[in-house]
Amino acid sequence: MDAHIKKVYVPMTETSFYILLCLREPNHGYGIVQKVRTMTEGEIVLAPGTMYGSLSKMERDGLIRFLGEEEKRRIYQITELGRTVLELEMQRIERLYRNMKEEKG
Amino acid sequence: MKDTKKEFKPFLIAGYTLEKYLDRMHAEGWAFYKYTGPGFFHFVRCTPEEVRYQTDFNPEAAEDRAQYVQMYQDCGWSHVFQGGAVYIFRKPVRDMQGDERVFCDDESRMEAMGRFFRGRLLVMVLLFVACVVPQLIMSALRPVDGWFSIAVSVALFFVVFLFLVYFVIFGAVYFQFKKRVRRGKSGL
Repeated sequence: MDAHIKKVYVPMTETSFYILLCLREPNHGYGIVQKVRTMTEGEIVLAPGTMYGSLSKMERDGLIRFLGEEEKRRIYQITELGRTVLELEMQRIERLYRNMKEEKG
Repeated sequence: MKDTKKEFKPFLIAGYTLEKYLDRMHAEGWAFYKYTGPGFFHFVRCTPEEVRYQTDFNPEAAEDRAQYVQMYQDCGWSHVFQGGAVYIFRKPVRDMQGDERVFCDDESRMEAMGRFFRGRLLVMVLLFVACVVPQLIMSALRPVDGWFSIAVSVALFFVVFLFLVYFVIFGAVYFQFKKRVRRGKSGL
């Protein structure tokens, strides 16, 4: 993994994390917004400007790839590089959670 | 009674101040529908309502404008106006889930802000270097003789003064905006 990817995505923003998590299955921006809203019981509502910018940046960086278009909505899916970055982030969050639990007792 | 009106606001730069101004106009029953340079904001009479306006500056969106606007519409934001790479959207507060903005984290807010200020500043600096600086050099080299020459010099210094005022206001808005973005208050 090159230095740029590491610097930008490890650790990553909450928005980037949810995008990669949702794009393990093909989906479009609004589909991700809906899925995250359901997953977090309305706690997190991803905003369109943030979504558009994040998807463009992730596609440019090779973390997701464009599959096609459906009714003016661009469909994306995670790439191998994206999966590697997501895995690193999951391990980091698991470590955080484990440490928190241990300290809390 | 007229159903449209326009207001002259030459120093309103896209961002928090502009958004607050459009929100206020809408609450008073005037919906923004277009901007004509330099500084004219056009409104049409509407039912007074609490609506949030948000701006985005996105040169990349030109390549897939329909998909970009669709993303906003899907999330309930109506596309109101586009001027160059500046897009203006609005959403009624009653349709929002909490405090909605078009950017939901500081990173994307800062990126959008950077795009906007770089784009705007670049245009003004290019204009200054390409049009004003050569005239300044020529004026300095030319001997001042007669009223026409004096008039040209005065006009030139006035233009330079206007540019300097613009740069100072722009700088002030930039720093104010940066502070606001850090507090998570603005759309752009």
